[in-house]
Amino acid sequence: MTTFEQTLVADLRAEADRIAAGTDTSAMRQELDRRLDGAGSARARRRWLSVVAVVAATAVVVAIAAVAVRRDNADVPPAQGTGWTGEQLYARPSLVLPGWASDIDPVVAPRRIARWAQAECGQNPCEAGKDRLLEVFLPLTGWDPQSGMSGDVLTWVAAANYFSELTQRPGVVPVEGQPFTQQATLAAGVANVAVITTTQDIPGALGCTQLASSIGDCQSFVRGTRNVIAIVNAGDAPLVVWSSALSSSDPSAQDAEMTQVLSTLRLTGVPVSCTDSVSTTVAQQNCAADLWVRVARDATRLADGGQANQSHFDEAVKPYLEGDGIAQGFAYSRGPSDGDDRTSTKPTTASLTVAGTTSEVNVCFVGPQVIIGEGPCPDGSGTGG
Amino acid sequence: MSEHPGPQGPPPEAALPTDRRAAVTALFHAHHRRLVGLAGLLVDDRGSAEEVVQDAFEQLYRRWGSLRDPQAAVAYLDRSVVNGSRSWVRRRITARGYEPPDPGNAASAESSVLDRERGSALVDAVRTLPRRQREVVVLRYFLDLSEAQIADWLGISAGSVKKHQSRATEALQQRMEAWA
Repeated sequence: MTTFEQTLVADLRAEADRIAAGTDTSAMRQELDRRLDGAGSARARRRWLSVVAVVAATAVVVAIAAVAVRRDNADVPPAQGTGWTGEQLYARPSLVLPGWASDIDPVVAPRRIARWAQAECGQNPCEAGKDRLLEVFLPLTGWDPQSGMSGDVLTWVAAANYFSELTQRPGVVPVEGQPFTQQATLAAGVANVAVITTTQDIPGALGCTQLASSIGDCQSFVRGTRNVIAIVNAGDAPLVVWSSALSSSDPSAQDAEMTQVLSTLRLTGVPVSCTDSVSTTVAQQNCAADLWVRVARDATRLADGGQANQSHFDEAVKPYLEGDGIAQGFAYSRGPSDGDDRTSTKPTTASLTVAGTTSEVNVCFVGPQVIIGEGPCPDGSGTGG
Repeated sequence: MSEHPGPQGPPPEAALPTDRRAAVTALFHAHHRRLVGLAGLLVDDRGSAEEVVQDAFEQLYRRWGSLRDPQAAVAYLDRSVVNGSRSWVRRRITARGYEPPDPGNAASAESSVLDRERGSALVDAVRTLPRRQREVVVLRYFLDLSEAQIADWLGISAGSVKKHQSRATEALQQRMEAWA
């Protein structure tokens, strides 16, 4: 090996060390445990399902044979897709997949992205028939092409402008008169839906998954595609369901596919709804509790897997207090902090006054999690600032 | 410092626990950091590298029963991380339709200085190589695989491996000379 190659070996190893040094092994271990728990359940389910499938297949054969005897031209029921639940994603979305995606293992980036894509095509855009993509995406921030940085955290209020901002990007062509606009889904609330075609690649247009994102952490449009995009309120945060196909593909098939996905979409991890029309004491109490659930969830999201701290809590509570929604009629104060040290992980308190009644909660920073409750913080939370 | 495969590849595993979950956990403790480093050399950010490595361990767990030799699990993990990293890069290119700008061309003078403080100029140059050349370099000089093994892992001929390796080292040397 030459001296140059020896240097290369040493430098690659040093770089690998540098990369690995920043990883939180403990958090990764916890994440792996969650995944393995899921994989274990899936194995058990598959085993059970295979038994059921054999029984069911036998029953179906018998039934078909019986029907065939009586009816020569029975209608074939439409094919049903496979159900899927994103246990690792915020809001735990579940839906019925289109047929083409049923056999594909989704690429899941914990918490924010689940993606089903047909085989790699090796060119951009993909050739027809290898181009379909379905993605459930929870953008944390928008992407500002002017500054080349990720923008503010997207709340549901901010998501109202999502489409208007999206459609102003060069190369985006909104398709008018499509069937989905403002379609109500059955259990995930109203989905604002737009159909968009693109004439050029638009990096970062759909938003980003991290604070201070680089463009690689953001989702982009590919030129020459037809995109059906639905925005659903996942508890004051936007959830994007994104179907993409070549512009030359059959639009009615793509629309039908999206109709199925949206009509089966359920969000099981969203807190109880809290509206601004709070008139009864019970509703007010529920609303306050709900606010803390939402703030804890958002603050944990902002911590993004790293050590949560007071700044994450402050950032999370801000949209609720500054917005025109549930903050009306509420008074809020935050307990002791460490001066200007917003990175402090020291437990703090927060209080909310609703109709003259004040409730105080403890805010704890446990690793990447922000826990808000009336009880004391768990052992090990915070570092004492 | 994290562990390295060394010139003869990863050290042979001590006897792994017979329980699948315990075995995967033991492998995780022994190899997680090294694998994040490996993936980080192939993708451009640590978050993606961590994802790729998580996927590899989950895959290993799912397929544990079909492994002919559990002692070969480390090699399985290495290969799985390489494949996962390559898929991740391809997905970025084909599905998102956008490749992050080449840092070698786009960085400002100030950020270049920061980059050099962060890692070596030679590693920065490796990151600017064409994708296939970069893969060959990492597999050859970090994993210490032979040309035949690299050809097998990447699904190309040994001749192509030789060609990519030669072009890559030539480009890297030229870059280093230019910087010097």
